[in-house]
Amino acid sequence: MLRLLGTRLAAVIPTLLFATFTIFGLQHIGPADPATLVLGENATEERIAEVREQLGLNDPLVVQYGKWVGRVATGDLGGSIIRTEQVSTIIGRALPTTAQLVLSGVTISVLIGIPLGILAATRANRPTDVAVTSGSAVGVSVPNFWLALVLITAVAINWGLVPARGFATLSDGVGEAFRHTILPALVVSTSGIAIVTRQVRGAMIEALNAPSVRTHRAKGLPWRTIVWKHALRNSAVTIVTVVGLLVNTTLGATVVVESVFAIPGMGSRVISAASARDFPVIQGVVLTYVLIVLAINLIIDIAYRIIDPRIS
Amino acid sequence: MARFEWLWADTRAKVALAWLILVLFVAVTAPLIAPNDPIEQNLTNVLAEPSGSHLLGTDDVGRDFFSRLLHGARVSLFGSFLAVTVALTLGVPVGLLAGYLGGLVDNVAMRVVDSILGFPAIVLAIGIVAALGPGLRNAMVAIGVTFSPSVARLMRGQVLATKNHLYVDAAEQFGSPWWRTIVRHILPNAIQPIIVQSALLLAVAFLAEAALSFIGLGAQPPTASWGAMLSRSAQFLTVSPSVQIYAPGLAITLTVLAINALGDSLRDSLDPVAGTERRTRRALARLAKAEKRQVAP
Repeated sequence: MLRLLGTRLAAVIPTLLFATFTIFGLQHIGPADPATLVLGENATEERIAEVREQLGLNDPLVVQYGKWVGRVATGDLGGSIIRTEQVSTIIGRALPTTAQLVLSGVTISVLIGIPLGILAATRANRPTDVAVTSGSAVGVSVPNFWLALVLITAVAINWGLVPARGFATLSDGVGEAFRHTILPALVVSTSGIAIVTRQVRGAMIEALNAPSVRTHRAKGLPWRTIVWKHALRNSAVTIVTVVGLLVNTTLGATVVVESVFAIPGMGSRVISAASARDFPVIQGVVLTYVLIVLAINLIIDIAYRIIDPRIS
Repeated sequence: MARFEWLWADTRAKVALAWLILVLFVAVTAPLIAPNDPIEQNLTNVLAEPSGSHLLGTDDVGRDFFSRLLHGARVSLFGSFLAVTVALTLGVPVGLLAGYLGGLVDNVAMRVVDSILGFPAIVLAIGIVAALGPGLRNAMVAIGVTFSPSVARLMRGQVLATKNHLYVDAAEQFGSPWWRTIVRHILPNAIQPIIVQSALLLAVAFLAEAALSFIGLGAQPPTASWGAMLSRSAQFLTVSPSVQIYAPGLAITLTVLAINALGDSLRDSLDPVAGTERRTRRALARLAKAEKRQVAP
């Protein structure tokens, strides 16, 4: 087990290396000079030269990259250009918010998607299946930020059931956190529900067509046991894969949805930083996203081997 | 079998195509058919309810919402086509070379591809737009870049599956140079899944354009894009006519749904019974029809 973890971790390193290279390169691909971005358009030549020296912009790119990676590896992401704060402080505050939203979204996707997928698979090509399949086609096609607007108008403004804006984490009390989380979590889970439903449906149809199912039926096992115990277990690998994919999708979905609900999470931070060209914040947030995705992929990779010993 | 037979056998695809033709028509002829100038403001008549002179009312600076909706089709379609073009331009050559040459080139290319796939696409796109500066063209180039790894990976897989065929071997034995082998013999036989993938990417690009314009990094004012229009309506959520919140969103949803439906149908037609997952009633019906036709010429 430890050895497996070691080899998997080693395989992640080149990916991570290239990702840091991309993230570092972001501020150098554009036409704008980073020093000018810090000081604004009206800065004097001397001041710009001074800041260039300060930011180390006169070093060769490779040296700059090395220094940057060295700092980042020790957890020093630099200071925000716009706010007088450390990037790590900003991320530390925004991360729990986004994590709560993503976890709620993923949970909803799984809790709704798996039963829907099974329902569709057991009634394959019949009206129920057609309805579920069409529903999931709409689910991946509807822009989540629009759905957010529609739900805010209906549920929050017209019916006044939940607050329209802002957020509360679990530390503000469970009830308060629930009221603030439920609507955005539903929105970020729309495409997730659709993806899970589709994948589970496919995997279950395949599992239910396996010869073993015929044997189970012949020996008189109740249909419910066959579906929920045997077929579902045989679909486990697909389900684990799709949950891994789901975290990535849901993370992406939170970015824009957070800004619609005015939730102070990572998505809102990266959007405001992008508009202000606050590169230290952008780089810090993007790096955090990449680390989360890589960590999830690692967990999924290991989960495979636990579920299905045939994979080595 | 006729090339477009799949289309006529599938009602859903026909409806989708009809909608897309309508959107395309509107996009091309928007300046001619729009009743008003989409960027002409009228500050004496803001946030008006729909009426005879303004079918969908007016926005927060008195611009005719219906005209902006028509012009928005133009912007949104152009943006998503641009993104897919960029993705193909970057992804196809990389995939071809990685698959054909193998070895070190393949290894390095796939590492790069893997690491870009590790970014949530929208986040990487936001980072790139921040670097290039906001604007529709930059935003869609950024989206195209984030899509290119998936194209490259698919292309590589297709090349690997194709390059061991006898005809490739034969071409090489006859002294065909490597670039010619790739362009004449491998590419045409490996391109079908890429076409399907492009259609599905077009749908994602459409959503991404709307999202980036919504958060202000895509189409810039006063340009009308469906995402940008929603962002204005959102700022005036409680006072703007409710149709202005529904119309652009519905337009986006229907267009994306139509592109997806057409892409799915195209995929089913190329590969009607690959995997039970896709073995829908639609595909089976089509298969039966095709067989019948073959029997009775």
